[in-house]
Amino acid sequence: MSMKMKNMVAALFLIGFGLIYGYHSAHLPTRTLPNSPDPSFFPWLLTVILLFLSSVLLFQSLKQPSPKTEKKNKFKLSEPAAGLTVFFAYIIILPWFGFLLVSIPFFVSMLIIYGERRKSWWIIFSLGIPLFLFILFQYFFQIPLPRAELFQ
Amino acid sequence: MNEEILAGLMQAIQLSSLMATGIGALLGLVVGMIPGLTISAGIIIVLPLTFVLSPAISIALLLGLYAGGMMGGSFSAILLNIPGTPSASATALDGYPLTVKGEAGRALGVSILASFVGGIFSFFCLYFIAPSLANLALEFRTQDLFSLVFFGLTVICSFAAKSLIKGLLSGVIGLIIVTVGQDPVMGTARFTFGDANMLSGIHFLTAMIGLFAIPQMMESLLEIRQVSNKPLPGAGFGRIFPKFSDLKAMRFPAAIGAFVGTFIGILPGAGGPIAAFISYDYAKKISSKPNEFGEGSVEGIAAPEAANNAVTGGALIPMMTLGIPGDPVTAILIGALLVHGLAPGPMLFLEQADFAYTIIFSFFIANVFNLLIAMAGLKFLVKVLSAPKSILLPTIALLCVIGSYALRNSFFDIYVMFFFGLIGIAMRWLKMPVVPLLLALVLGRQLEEHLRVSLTSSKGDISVFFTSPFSVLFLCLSLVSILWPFVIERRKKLATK
Repeated sequence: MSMKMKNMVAALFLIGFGLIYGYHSAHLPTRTLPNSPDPSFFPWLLTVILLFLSSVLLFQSLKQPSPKTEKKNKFKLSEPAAGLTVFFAYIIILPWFGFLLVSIPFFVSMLIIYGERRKSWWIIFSLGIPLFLFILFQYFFQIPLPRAELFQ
Repeated sequence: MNEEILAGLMQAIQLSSLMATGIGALLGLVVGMIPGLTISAGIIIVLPLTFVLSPAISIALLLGLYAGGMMGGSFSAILLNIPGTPSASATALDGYPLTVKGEAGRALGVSILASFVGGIFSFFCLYFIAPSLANLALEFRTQDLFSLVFFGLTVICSFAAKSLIKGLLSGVIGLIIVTVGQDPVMGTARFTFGDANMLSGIHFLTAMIGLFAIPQMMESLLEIRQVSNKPLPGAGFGRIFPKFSDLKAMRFPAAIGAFVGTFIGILPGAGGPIAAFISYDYAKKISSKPNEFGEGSVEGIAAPEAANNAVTGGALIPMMTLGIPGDPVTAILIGALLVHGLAPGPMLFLEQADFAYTIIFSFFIANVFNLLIAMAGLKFLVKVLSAPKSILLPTIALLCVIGSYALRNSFFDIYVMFFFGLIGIAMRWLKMPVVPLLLALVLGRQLEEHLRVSLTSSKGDISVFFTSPFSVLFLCLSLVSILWPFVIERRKKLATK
């Protein structure tokens, strides 16, 4: 996608978002002190600025000449998409099984996505690093880590 | 030396603080030199620790990392022609040609020493300017504070973006995010949609972790198969400490770099890369051998290196005295202090003067540690450049989760971190700068509070912002910073015609 198109998409999205934000700002409670701006004052101000700036961005991108030749994306997006999906799955499962149990398969998955082919590394690092961090934070620094709801 | 300065010094030279500074400096050098890992990533690694350590130790650790990261960035720039941090880009121009000539040790030695000079110069500026500026800032009233914060935001937007509109949009999105939760004047719940977790708002440290770490991990996934591993120079570096002739050659460029870097560091948002390139340009102009620049000039390494390290001390001045962060790292430092109930700003020097001086002296010690660690351990440190990212990046992912969760022991913060990661990815896709958003998250609450309190005290009369001289000054500066990019653009167009 060209930068022009990206800017147009972003501007339209932000205009839409600005309208929704403005709608919710209009429905905020009006509780306030006498002679003072109410809680919706600042959100209203931001709505106006956001809509103005987004419109300028839209106008700028419409005025921008279209690129003659579209550059083909030379990057493979499958790895980042896989990485993001694994990370999302990790944080969703985390409350059920706790930090230690979920971090091990997560680490293996990330090693595979990062192109690590040595199976010995999969075992050593995916066990070693989560365990090390668990002991370091939970016991050494007394920082509580996510616990498993299923085992409580 | 007064009592508070002495107390600050004593706190900074306690064994635990010294150890924290040393560890921070070492970690900073390591993360700084690994291309793709920023100082912010290093901060994410130690962030969970700062929640449990005392404020003095936390700040010592973070300052060590900040100063170390700036210095470490130049190592990979010199050895591999890949800057570890954006601030080290100018260093690569002359550092790498020296490596090619087989003089890597000489380039690294000049870079380490110039970084030290820059850091120490900015320490002295911090030591002498910060208390006076804090005293002046005590005179500010709410309308002045509003205009000051507004000025901070506009400068950041104009510096941080190639497109001013995108920079301003990024800042406005940050301000909108700040409106989630209780409003700062009346405590009314806004945009919480009945969710109790949303009442306390979005913690900016959680947002910062997501904004910086997740896009970086994804970008590394794009690059990991494409970046060829350049071999390190195998024949050793030779002598690292600069010869007398090099010391003589670097004295003026390092002085220029230190001065320019400190000044630019004080400006919110300007940052290391700008300081490094301006200093490089000045050094070239005053050099008797300008033709050697780009071919492996010692002066061309000294100026940007002194500048990017001087930026760190410069950036601490507005952070400590006005509570205005100059870059993401100082924003994180503010967050780390706020977690401990310490709010940077003029009151810090009034109510916690000893702690303010602890910060200043810890910064000095961080620079000394950097010099010692880099000079003594350089040959071992550069081995990190061959460390596999496949291990490093998933480890950072785990630390992101730990850091987000540890802040309030809440899974909600982990989801917020991930959500901000997606925002960060979208912003990179759009080439929209993230820094204005982050700094708006830090400053947004103050901006709204000062605006509403000022308007309340003036019974809604906006002329209150134009009657105070400080407020007028800051508003004029804001106008200049918004219009400046247009003036530059116009000048460029006229010059090309």
